[in-house]
Amino acid sequence: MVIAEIQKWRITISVSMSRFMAYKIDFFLTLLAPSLVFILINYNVWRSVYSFRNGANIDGISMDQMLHYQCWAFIVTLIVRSHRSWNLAEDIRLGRITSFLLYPFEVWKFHASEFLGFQIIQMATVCIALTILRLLGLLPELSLQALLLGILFSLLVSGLWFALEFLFGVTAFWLEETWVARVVFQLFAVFLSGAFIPLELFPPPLRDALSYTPFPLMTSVPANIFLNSPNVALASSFASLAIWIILVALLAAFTWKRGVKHYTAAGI
Amino acid sequence: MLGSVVNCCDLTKEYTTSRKEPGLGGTVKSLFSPQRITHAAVRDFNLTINTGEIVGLLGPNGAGKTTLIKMLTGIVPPTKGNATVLGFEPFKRPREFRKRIALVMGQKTQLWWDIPAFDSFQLLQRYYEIPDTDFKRRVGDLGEMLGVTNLFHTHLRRLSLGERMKMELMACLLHNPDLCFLDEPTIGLDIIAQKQIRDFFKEYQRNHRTTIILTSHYMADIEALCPRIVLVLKGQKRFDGAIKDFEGVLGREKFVSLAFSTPPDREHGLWNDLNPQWDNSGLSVELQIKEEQLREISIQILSTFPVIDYSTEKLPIERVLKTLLANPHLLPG
Repeated sequence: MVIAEIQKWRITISVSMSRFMAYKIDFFLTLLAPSLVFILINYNVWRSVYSFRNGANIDGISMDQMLHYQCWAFIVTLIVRSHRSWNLAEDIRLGRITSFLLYPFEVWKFHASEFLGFQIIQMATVCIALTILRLLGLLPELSLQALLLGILFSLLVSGLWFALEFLFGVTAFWLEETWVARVVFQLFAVFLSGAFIPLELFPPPLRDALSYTPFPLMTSVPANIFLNSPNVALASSFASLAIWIILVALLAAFTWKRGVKHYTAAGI
Repeated sequence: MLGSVVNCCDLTKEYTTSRKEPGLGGTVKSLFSPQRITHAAVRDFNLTINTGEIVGLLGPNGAGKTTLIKMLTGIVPPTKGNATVLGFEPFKRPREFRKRIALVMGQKTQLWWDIPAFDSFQLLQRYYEIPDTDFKRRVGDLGEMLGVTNLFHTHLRRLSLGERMKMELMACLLHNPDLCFLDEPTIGLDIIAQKQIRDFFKEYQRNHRTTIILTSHYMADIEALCPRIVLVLKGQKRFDGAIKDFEGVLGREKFVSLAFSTPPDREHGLWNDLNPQWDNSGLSVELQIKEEQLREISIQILSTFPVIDYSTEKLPIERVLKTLLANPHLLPG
């Protein structure tokens, strides 16, 4: 029974990876493009910001610290944003989950293993990005322990994102089109997680308020783990991330159970 | 005594949709005060299907055939009534139930577009927990029956529509289902591919005694495969019986085609009550003649007009259906 279940996950991961690699140019661009875009845009924007200020610190953050933070925030983003490869809401609206309701392998398991397949490929992208950043001298300090902990934390964050995306997707059973709400949430989450601007630059009241949300865990905390920052409380960060994952996953499962009764299987 | 595979009692499915008036004004209005309309896609449907039967679901678009299939496969829940399929309540979708049914959707591909069909088969092998030896044997047998063995390793997107449909059929039958739902399996295919698929199902059903529920707009599919048909009109069952009885719903009539050397008099009283359908030239006509009057009327026509060709067949089922769709009051009950 367990072996059969493992085989279902394994084959789905393997087929998903084959599908992601089916279009060669697209695949190689997936591997290389994020690093090039980061260096050309994000990295240079922050260099320019500091050069306008003649290299002066921003709220006590030096240019080097900011660039290092941005590099690690970029690596975190690469790991945690694999969920973008699928869109459950669209699958529901266009009736594409019909087959999966019939297979003896649940819809969420299929999507989760597909997500894991993409995550494996994405880890190759992360390795390429780390190599490029290292070769360009943008990551001078690299602690193996911090690297492994950061990757582990980021992988868990990607699990949280997966559960959130699933939850958003399931609302399509009632709302049909959830694209705008999903994008708005993503933009807020990315901004409030510190992916663009370190949370240290946010006003203290906002920072305090954010500490009761999962947002800091999504970029700021893992980026600081990579940076080996002494300000990160590792145990409590891991614990609160686990709690958020469980909460969102339970809510998604509950919503799915209610929502699937509204499914119309459009298109057949 | 054969056991029943499908049993449904007063099965009803209602959908609530919002109606929008035409134009931009209607769009804005529907944003703030949407007009909700509830309509029954299937109403009080009773149906029993026994093991090994092949049943054709007939009806025009929107009649409720596909909604019925969606409920019987557990894809959508009924609004009221109940159904048992293979002893299970479909919408609870227990894993054992899902392992024993299959659904072929002619209008929707279930296989993965970006990979060869064989990779999808391997995926399904694991999902349905098919032992390796059975999987190899079934893939070999089905591939040979459908003549697609040489295409297993070609990307699905590179196959023709007919080839893809054959792969879909293979994918649905790999786990040897007890009950197979075929929703328009030949739609869009050329006549050769249609016939191949019909022949395949005939042979497959003969060998496996699989219960099959088929919907198709091609009467050839229904006639070739289904000894029993169920007519669905506006969500309700309007006929359920043997196909030969359906052909007789409009009375035992023969369909007679005649060709003439010169145009006959169309106003002649002989044509009365025979529903003549003349061609543009007036040189040929199709008539519907009651079986018991066939001999007498044929003799009169042959002796009165310059007939150069004469053929007769029973009223084609397609024409029976067309007549009944236009005149549902002719249906019994």
